[in-house]
Amino acid sequence: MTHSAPSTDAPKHKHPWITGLVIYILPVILFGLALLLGRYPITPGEVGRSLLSPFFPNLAADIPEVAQQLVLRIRLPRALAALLIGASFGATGTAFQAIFKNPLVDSNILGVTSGAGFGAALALLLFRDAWQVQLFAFAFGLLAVFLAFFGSRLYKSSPLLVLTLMGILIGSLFNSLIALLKYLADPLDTLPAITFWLLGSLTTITWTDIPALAVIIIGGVVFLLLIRWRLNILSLGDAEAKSLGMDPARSKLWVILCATLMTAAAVSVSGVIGWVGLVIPHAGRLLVGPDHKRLLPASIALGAAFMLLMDTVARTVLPGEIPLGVLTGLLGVPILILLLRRNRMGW
Amino acid sequence: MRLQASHLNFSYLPGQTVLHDVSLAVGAGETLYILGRNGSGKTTLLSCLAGLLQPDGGEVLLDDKPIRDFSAAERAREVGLIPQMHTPVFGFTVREMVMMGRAPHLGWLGSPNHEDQAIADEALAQVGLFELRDRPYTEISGGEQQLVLIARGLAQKCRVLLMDEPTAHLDLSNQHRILEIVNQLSDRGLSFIIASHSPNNALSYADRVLLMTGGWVTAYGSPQETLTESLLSAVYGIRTEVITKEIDHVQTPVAVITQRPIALEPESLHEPDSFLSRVFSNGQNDPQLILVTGLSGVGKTTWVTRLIELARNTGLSVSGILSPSTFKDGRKTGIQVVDLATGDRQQLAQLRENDSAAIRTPRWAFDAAAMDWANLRLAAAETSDLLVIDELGPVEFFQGKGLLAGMARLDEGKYRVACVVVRSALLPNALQRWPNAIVVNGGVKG
Amino acid sequence: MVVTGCVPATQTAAPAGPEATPLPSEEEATDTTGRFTIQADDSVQPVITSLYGSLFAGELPAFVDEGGDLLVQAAPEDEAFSLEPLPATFLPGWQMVPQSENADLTNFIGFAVSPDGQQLLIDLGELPSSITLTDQAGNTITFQQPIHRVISTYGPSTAMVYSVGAGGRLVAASYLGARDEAGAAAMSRIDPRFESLIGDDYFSQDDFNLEEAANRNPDLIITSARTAWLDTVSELGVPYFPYDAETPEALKEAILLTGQLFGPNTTAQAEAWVKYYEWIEAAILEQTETLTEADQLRVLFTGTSPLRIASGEMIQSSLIEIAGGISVSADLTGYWNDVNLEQVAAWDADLILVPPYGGASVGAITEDPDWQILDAVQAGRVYRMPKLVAPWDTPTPDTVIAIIWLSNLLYPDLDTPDCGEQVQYFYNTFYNYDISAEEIDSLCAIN
Repeated sequence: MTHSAPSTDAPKHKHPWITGLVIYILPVILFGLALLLGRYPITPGEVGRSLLSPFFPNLAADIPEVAQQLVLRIRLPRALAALLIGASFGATGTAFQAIFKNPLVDSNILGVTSGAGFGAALALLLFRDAWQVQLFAFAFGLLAVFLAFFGSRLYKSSPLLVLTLMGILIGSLFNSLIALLKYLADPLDTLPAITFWLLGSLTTITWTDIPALAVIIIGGVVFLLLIRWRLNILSLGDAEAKSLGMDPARSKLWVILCATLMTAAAVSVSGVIGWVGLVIPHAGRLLVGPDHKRLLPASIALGAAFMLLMDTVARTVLPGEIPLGVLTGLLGVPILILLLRRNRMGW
Repeated sequence: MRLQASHLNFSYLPGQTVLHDVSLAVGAGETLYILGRNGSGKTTLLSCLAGLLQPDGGEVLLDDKPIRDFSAAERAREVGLIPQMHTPVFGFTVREMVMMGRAPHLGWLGSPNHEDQAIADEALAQVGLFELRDRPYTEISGGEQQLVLIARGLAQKCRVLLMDEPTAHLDLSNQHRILEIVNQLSDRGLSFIIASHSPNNALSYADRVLLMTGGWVTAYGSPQETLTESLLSAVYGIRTEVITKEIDHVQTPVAVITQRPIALEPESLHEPDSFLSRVFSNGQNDPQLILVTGLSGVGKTTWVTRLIELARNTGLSVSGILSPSTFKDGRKTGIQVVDLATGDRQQLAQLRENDSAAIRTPRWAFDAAAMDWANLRLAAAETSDLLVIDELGPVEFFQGKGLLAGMARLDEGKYRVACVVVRSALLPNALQRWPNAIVVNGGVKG
Repeated sequence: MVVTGCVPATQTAAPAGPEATPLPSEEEATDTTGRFTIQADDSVQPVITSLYGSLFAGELPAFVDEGGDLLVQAAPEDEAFSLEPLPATFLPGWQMVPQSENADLTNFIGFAVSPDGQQLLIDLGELPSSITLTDQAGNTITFQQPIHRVISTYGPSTAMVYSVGAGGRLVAASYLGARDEAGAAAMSRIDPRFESLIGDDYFSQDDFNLEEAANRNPDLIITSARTAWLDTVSELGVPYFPYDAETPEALKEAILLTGQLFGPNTTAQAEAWVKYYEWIEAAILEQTETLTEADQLRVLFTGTSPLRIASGEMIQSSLIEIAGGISVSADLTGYWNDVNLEQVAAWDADLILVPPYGGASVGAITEDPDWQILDAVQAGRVYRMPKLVAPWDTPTPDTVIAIIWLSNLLYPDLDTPDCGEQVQYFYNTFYNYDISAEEIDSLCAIN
């Protein structure tokens, strides 16, 4: 046996660095595209000069005021939000799939989205202001996970299975409560607002939404990136993780806490957007394999790219916004079916 | 290096103790096998030894330091555990799997570097799987997966490796491949504690063996001391013979389970020197128990009835209890009880009036007086050439009711040859009680 | 119904009413002093006598040939619309026009067009005992006449029932625009029974308590065609009538059908509304057809939240176009559409409208810093559609004055009908509501 013996089984990808380059350049290209495209005609030159105008005010001299403001106040924060939210879904979906040892779970496994949906619906029913809707969505998203997590602690056996079950139960509970609120809502006024929120959209994003979103999501992404190799070990199950010197319960608690904060932050501004957290990790595994050292960064980049693409389609194709949740579902399902068919590496 | 457990007690739920007062020790380069039936506590013991479970009583010591004083990472640098084989969900490559063994040597935020990769590759080379390093773990064979896990233990640089049924589900050649590698690694000073279902692997490879029954230590010592016919028979509840065979010019002990039930025709009683006639002649000195077994309706009672007739024809005395069924319109409607010594019979049980599948009450109404009568006859019967008890069922084995006088008589050995009818499902219980019984297939051909 | 004023007696055609049968009591009647005098064609005198005798316990009416207190005449045919009070049409083609003020006279006219009066006319064979209508979904339904008790579970249809003069027959109703305090107060002034009619909301479009409905003993239930419980209500054995009125044409049709449900007078009043609508439309078109496309103002109609926009299929879009504006969101389909601000900027509206319901407010747009990029917002051209009770931008009879208000707002220099005058005429005539000067001011003020 010699270490220099050629591998009998060539790596799946002949040029892994090309794959890597494409994955990480994709969100950059799509971010640029998101700034260039929109319902209002603005030339690429005007977009570029508008972007630089805060630093060089004379550059924007001959650009229509509306165009400059649209780029800086509408397109830029919205593209940033799509980037952050997509990255968040990619990262949390991957992390949840790892710690639940289950490639079929997504960011909503512990009911965070359902809880957030209920919080948003409640705030839409009680108040009208956007910040209250976001605050309620965020708080109830956390509450749902808290209930699922501590509910599962009531049972001694097989914590992972009980946690999954609790997540499903709490999610269903909040979905029922959402249905109740929709029933109570004024059909002319609150009901469409609730329905639209539940379908997911970045229409109302402004700069004021960005700082909190960025802090939570970037913080969460950094944390998950730092521990990403440990996700490999957690995905083997508690017994093996323990025998390899980890404290799986505490590690999973940190991952759940972090992923929940990120998902709640994302969902509280975007509304319910499904499938991204489920589909993106599969795409990532197909491209770079299951090792979370490479998979997590790839999922983050792919999630950001996917969400930028979806949001650009949602806001440019028709005069009316296409709900993001509808788009991600319509595209996510066929993509997932395709990936599952192509994927022969286990997962 | 010395991993030692003293007087371990453990229970998952209060009042349900899984380990009772278990003590063992393994030194550098030693291999300890833990044998026992399913559910005897082997896996729990391994978890306690690895420090994953905290025992309720007793202590696990690593080089005389309590293992619970070690941090998780410190512990994992000393003791590795390879759980029962399962396929992970994600298709990590072989090298990625082995690299995970480096976890206890890295900080919480750390990830393996080139040095760790070199250690992993070295470990893979040691188990002979370097060529497979880029293959998905989920796509290699079961034996190779087990070797990958051993390599992971090597990369972990631990000094004791605990393995839970490493050869389960593996074919002979793969079993051999793994055990040989374990053997070679143990020669280099790595210690192994292996939970196994194979006494023969233990006979060949173990330095020491721990035999467990229901969480208790039945025996602990060298393979020669522990893997004896009687202990194996007692632990597994099935008669086991240990024979010595010369393999490659070496006298090697091999544990063999004798085949049973055996097919035996009652008619062979008339043939001189047949197995059955030898049983009867042996019975003059040493009580011989024949368990007549088989599925319901194969003709166990018929088999016994024929034996009784033949015995009587031969001039042998017969006593005991026979319970033939009574039929009406081709349907079993009752059970009688016959005292074979006198020929007296009584109605023992009758089908309940409102018998239907929907009613969950027992179908048979037993007559307590007839049962008492049968027990009296069994207790009082003189020691005859052939004692028949038809039959011992779940009531006798599990509820402590029914033909208890018969059970007592068998336990006391107050018979020459006894012929007892037991249905197949209860055979392990019967053999646990009377390990040396001869088991006969009660099916009547033709 | 208070009917005052005078309609010139231009009796031009032969009475269209059915042949009347003389009553036996006529010969014996000798008392001709009466409570008021009636001037009527011979052919309708027997019917009048019956109605009079029924209301005033066997008394006989005093017929005169000239200068009667009450003029009963055949309806003029194809008369051009004029802003006059509506006469009482007690039989198809026959009107009662009071010539003087008299409490008995007012009672008599009210009785003639009431369900009891209708019943008497049916007994006399002057009116059919049942009518057959084709609803907007194309179903043919037969209704017994008269309809005394009606439940309206659809806000717009409730407004239609009031506008044809049948508000008094409601026994329970769901209202549009009466949830807020001002709307509820105004509705109480229009119909003092409002609080009792609205009940506990058992009869809204979403919820319908079958047993509560049965308890009210209705002759008819009117609903939205989009109602979920239509199958259940048919189990009640009470006929129901579904409405669909999202376009001006469908609205006209719905109001005419509403009129036909309740008898000849309501039919005539519904026809009067349609004539009024068409008169307004023509008056505005006359002024706005001179505008070039460049002169036409581009209007955006937002919904309960600023980025929720009315589609081209909604009545809001039609209102804008009838008032001479351009609906920038006419290409949108379906119901309310959610759009983004960039799309709003691309539409570049001259003027933005917000609806008078659902918490929508001008401030939500003008105080949002992001909306300042729009010229209309910078110019302060954001306005709230008014409402008295029913919001003017909903498919209700009130829509007709939304068009006037909007044309005044868009083109103050053009000589379109005046908002104040028309608001007064509309609520007087179609809601029988004597609207105050303050209310007119608050509705027509440009805010």
